[in-house]
Amino acid sequence: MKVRVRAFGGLKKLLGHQFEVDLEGDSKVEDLLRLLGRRIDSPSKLLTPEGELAENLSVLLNGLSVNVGKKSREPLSEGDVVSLLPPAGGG
Amino acid sequence: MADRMSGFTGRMLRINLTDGSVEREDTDLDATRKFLGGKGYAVNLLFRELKAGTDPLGEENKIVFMTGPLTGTRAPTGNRFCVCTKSPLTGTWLDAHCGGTWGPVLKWAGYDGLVVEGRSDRPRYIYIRNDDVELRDAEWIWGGDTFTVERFLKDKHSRDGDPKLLEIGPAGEGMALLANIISDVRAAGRGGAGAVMGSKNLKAIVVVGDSIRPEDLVHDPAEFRKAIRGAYKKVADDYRTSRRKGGGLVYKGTSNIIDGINEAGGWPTRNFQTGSFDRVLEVDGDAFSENLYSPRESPGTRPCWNCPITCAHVSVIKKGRWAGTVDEGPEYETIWAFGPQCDVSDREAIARADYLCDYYGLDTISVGNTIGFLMECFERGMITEEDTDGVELKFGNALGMVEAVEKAGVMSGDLGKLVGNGVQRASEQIGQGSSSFAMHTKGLEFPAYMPRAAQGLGLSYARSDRGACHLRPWTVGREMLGFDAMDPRTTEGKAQEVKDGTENIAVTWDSSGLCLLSSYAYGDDIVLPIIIAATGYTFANKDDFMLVGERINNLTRAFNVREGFSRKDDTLPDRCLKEPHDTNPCKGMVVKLDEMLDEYYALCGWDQDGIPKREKLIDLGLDLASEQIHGGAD
Repeated sequence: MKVRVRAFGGLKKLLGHQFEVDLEGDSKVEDLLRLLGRRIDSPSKLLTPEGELAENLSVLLNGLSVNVGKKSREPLSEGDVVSLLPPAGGG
Repeated sequence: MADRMSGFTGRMLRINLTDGSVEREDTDLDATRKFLGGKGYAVNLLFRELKAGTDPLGEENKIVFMTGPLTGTRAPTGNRFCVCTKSPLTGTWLDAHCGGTWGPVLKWAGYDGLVVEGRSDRPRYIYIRNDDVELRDAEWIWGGDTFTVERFLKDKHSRDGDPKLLEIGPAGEGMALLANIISDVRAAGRGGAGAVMGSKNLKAIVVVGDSIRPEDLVHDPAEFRKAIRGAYKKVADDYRTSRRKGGGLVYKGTSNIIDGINEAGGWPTRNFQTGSFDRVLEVDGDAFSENLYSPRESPGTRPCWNCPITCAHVSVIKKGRWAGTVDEGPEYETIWAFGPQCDVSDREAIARADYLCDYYGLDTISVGNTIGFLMECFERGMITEEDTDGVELKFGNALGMVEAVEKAGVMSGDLGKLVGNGVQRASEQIGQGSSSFAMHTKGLEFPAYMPRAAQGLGLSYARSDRGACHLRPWTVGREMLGFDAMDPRTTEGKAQEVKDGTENIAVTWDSSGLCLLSSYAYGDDIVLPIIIAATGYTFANKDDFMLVGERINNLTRAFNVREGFSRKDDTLPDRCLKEPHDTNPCKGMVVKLDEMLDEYYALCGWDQDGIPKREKLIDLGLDLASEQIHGGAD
């Protein structure tokens, strides 16, 4: 299953802005983050040791915060877009 | 002067420009208990003193410059003042807020605020140096841009101390309805307060204040120091505001949110036709930080007084046609207004347009919104180069966009007038059904978020007391950016969110003198003890404090009802209500406004036409409002 990752801020510099990741069929957002954390050799930037989202990370799944309805625990689907953003405020 | 400071100096100024009189009067300290300061104090004052139907640009309109109890104290971000009047752009209540240093210095001069009334027969400016207050001739600077006026008047009064200014530019003098008031290159931006100053022939207000120290302003200095310590710690710890943690607000300013809003399908592009900008990486916070913003430590960067966040940035254009332009900003809203709204990704054009708005004294949000609207009209063939002084005003034409700003600044030609008076007037003039995509509520142009991408935001724009405003409340954090997330697609819970948020912002931020950006680090639980220590006022609990916000929200509503506003005006253009959104995650969505309004009005204690009920007004102690809206007792 292929999902598209779009990274911004500091993570863009570490991971690149936009790329595809091949995952097992029943993978969840947290599985993706674990994989990406290993890729940058800094898992704590994405997940806490308990498997929760890192405090300084905002994740959108197809444009919707994964905190809505605990979407980080739901299986990903082919073609999903996962956006990784630094915490943001202002406007 | 009050025997002991209570966050308020106890003194106000009242200046009549018609007869030149300067009166000092006591701050109504009973009113400060019911309304606090800032917006709350001003709406109580203006509701009593302005008659319904007042011409906003007439001699009878008044303009109030008001601080809050924390302005000029050592509370973090305690630097805000607000400008309150009847808006010439919307005909509604208007409060526009500004940081910088002017508000604190007014307080240190010994005043909580000033009420300006009447109209001078020639250009004047107000000069305040502690107890000395006088009207001065401004003929020699009339016509001047805001930067030059600020420099000239600072030079002129520099031997008196450290003068601080607010002023209008040529746009305000010309009574462009999008004219703002500039202070320290910041703006009381929205709703045309600059045109009200212009209508009164008032160019500037200079203040030199050194009769009161920040420490002297608060009721209980020891408790106050303890209370603000917690607030500073929160700012230092939060990932958005912390310098140590590389906070986005510190290093990119408000532009740090661009990527998140765009990914959530909420960044309005090509006049709100779509919710995602395909060249976002050319104009996001990283792009400006890496290419145009000066290093934040550079001497040209001037944070607001006593701000631990320091979101301010400066752009220096070093090459090309606008080389030499030094722009304070641009920030999130302005990048949007002259970026995706006009389909422009030229950073230097965006910064130049921002600079020109500051130079002439124009509201960037409204100007960019209006130009984007005109670009859509141009592309649809509703207007041609004959209507735009020969400018081919198509989406993506960065040069045409900048030229349109120049013309609006001095209301020059057909294009200048179309832009300078805002999108509602432009759509009325153009007709041909263009009102369906003239993006405003009550005449105030939409800011940089897409209502079709967040139901609560749609309600927030529709019901806001000054017209479409993103800050009353800012539902975006919860609906798009994932803080304590709410599903943007549902209407469930949104009426309560908007009611609570509006009341909270009205009291905690807009009436206290604190900057709303500090709310990312801490909330009312931190602010309330600070206000109590500063004022000595007693609030039984948080609900008791929020009652102040509810009172303010009902009184601005009553102000508008008295002017004839009701449910029919709490609306959005057809683009929001009838055209399905094309961007995930809200693809196919329109704003379900009616069902949210029903619930919102019920929660507020207003009838289904949006009129506050008699018993609600009486419960809140707003007897005069009840009497004026509902007549005498039953």
